[in-house]
Amino acid sequence: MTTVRATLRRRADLATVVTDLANAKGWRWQDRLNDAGAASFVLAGDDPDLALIEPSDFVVIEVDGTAVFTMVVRELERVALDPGEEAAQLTTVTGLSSVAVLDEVLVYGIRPLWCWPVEDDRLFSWPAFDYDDSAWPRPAVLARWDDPTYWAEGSVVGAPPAPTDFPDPDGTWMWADSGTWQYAPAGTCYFRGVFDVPAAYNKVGIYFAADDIGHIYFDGQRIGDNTWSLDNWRTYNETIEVTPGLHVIGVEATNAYDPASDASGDHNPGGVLCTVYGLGAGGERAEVLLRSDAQWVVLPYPDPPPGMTPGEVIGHCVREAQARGGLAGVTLSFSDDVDSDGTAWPLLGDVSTKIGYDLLTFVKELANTYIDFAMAPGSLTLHAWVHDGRGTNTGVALHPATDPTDPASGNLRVLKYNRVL
Amino acid sequence: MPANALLVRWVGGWLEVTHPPAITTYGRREAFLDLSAQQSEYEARRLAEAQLVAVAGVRTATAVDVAPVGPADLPFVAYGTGDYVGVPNWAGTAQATRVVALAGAVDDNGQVTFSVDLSDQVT
Repeated sequence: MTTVRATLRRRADLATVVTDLANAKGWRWQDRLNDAGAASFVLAGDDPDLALIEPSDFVVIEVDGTAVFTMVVRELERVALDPGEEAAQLTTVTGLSSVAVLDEVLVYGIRPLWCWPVEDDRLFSWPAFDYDDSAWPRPAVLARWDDPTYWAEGSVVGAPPAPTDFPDPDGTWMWADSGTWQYAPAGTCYFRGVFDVPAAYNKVGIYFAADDIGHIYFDGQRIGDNTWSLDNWRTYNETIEVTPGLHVIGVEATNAYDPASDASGDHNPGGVLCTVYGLGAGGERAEVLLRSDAQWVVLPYPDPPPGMTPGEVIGHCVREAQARGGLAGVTLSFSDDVDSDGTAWPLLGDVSTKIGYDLLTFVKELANTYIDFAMAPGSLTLHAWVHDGRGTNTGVALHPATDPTDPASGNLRVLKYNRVL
Repeated sequence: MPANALLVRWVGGWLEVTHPPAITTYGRREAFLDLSAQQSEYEARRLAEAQLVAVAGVRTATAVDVAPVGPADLPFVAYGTGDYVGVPNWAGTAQATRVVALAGAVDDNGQVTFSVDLSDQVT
């Protein structure tokens, strides 16, 4: 006969049994894939175990001696007066599976709460302020922004000399160091430039152009685009209110394939041109804070695009929450590089979510596409796997009784289908 | 209802992502996917395609109550959530199917029962 045992534990000391809930009745528990399961049980109103239950306590359920489910106690429902019902003497204890502790903390923005511009979305990707770009090389500086030799070669003879309205006379074009001022391979490169806004400024003016196509990000948020044009090529510009301190510009730039020039290696340059000014009180351009030059870093022609692994994303959130004092005792069985079974994580080009979502909601979002996750029974070890990676083919067969006179010849009692057409 | 043509909102605008074989089989069925925090078209498209794989076809959820014979088929011990077990499919053929929810209950007499949800979770 199958036996079930349930024990009350303190979150801070899961290994120690506070009490054996031997008198509890009506046990129900359900473990759900990539979600917080639920559990409940009932105690008599005068059961002394009730007084032992404290907020955040856990109940570990064992089946035949194996810990199979951990419940975090969330609610007690006690009927104090109900003369018509025997149930009035009972208290129902309900809760969720232990992975629900992830809903105790939120996804925060990268920067301090008082910083401008205000963040709405938390981005886990290469333009994010906290992305590790330490392995990215420096770009090559190609030419001054209006260098006539840069603009009067090959297929673009007669083209206007760069964007007509770029304001920085000392602005320079940059590209990966595989490019020259004459030619760069077609494809996409990723650039990051970090700059410091002095206390004297609360606004910056951003001027940006790309040859051929560029998307620009400020502190991780996509703010605009620019595309090379033979006729009336104009600079993208934007004024942004900021708080003093470090900020980051990200640029994703694509040098388009030019059939004639690329076949001959003749003249198809790629370039990024960007200058950031600190703006004075009247909005005038007061000081250059960042210019597209060798102070930036670039990731040339990556395949796939840069990003973060699911392990890095969850790790960021958990470590940040723990730094704020949340998620006490939670540990991870996976790393930035591999999942809980040692399988390499995929690199995700752009993971983002709304700031203010709780971490359980965010991890469930990730589980729609990228991961499986669960908390190990009897512990606070969070497991995460590559999508569909939780579990194995056990070989267990569920089937109806093969001998009508012997119920034990099968293990399936009820079988239902729900087909969605 | 299956969906095989997703209208997707991301930071940079709108995308349409379709599943042509499912459209051929079932006719066009559109749905909206809000990815308004996604800043990369590449990733938004990848997310939408992954969603389509899950929702473009007919989905069948299977629910069973089991009475284990011994430790070798004891739920939570012999198999758990995320594992695959053999179960008769819609056509009656045994097929390895993934456990998406696993539940236990103990009645007032101490009798333990188990129920298992398999394959697609239809919500």
